[in-house]
Amino acid sequence: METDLRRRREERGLSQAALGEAVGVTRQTINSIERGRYDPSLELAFALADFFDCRVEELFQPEAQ
Amino acid sequence: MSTSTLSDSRLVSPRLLFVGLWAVAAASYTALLLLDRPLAAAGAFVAVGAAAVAYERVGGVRFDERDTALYETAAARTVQVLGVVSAVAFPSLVAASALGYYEWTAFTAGVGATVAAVFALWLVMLVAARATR
Repeated sequence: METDLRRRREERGLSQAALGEAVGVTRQTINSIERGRYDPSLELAFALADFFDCRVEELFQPEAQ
Repeated sequence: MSTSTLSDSRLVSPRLLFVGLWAVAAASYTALLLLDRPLAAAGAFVAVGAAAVAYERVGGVRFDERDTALYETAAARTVQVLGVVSAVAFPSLVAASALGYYEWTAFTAGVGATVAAVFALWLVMLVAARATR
C-alpha cells in the first residue's frame, strides 16, 4: 500500500507519537505504515482518514503494478 | 499524553520496560532452576510476572493491531515449522523403530505426545475461530 501519511503528518507539524496517540495506536505502528511495512486495518485506515479529513482512498492507494 | 514512545524525556518506553520485566522473570526462573532452587524459581517468576502484569495495567503500556498482526504471523509460522518438522520426524522414527533401528525413550515419546496435543489444541482453536466468522 502506498500512502502520503508522512507528508500529511509533517504538514500538520505532528510527531509520529502524537498522531499515534490521536488515532489510538503506537508510534511504531505509524512509523511502519509510513514506511510501507504495515497495512493498517480498515478501522485504523478510516480513523486516519477521518483525522486528516480526507477519504481513505486519498490517503492509501494500492501499490502500482 | 504519549504512553508508548521515546519521543519524550523517558529513557525507556513502557513497552520495552514491560518486555524487560518478563525477560527478568524468565532469566531469574532459569537461573534459580540451574541453582537447584525450584521453589525460589517459581516464586520469583510469579512475583516478577505479577509485577509485569500490574505494570501493564497501570503503566500505560499499549499494544495495538500491529502487535496483534505480528503475534499472528509468529504463531502461524511456529505451527507451520512444527508441522513440517513433526511430519518428517515422527513417521521416520516410527519406521526406524519398526525396523529395529530406533528405540523410543520417555523423552521422545513425551515430545510426540506434546506435539500431538499442540495440534489438537490448534484444531479446537481453528474450529472456535471459524464459528465466530
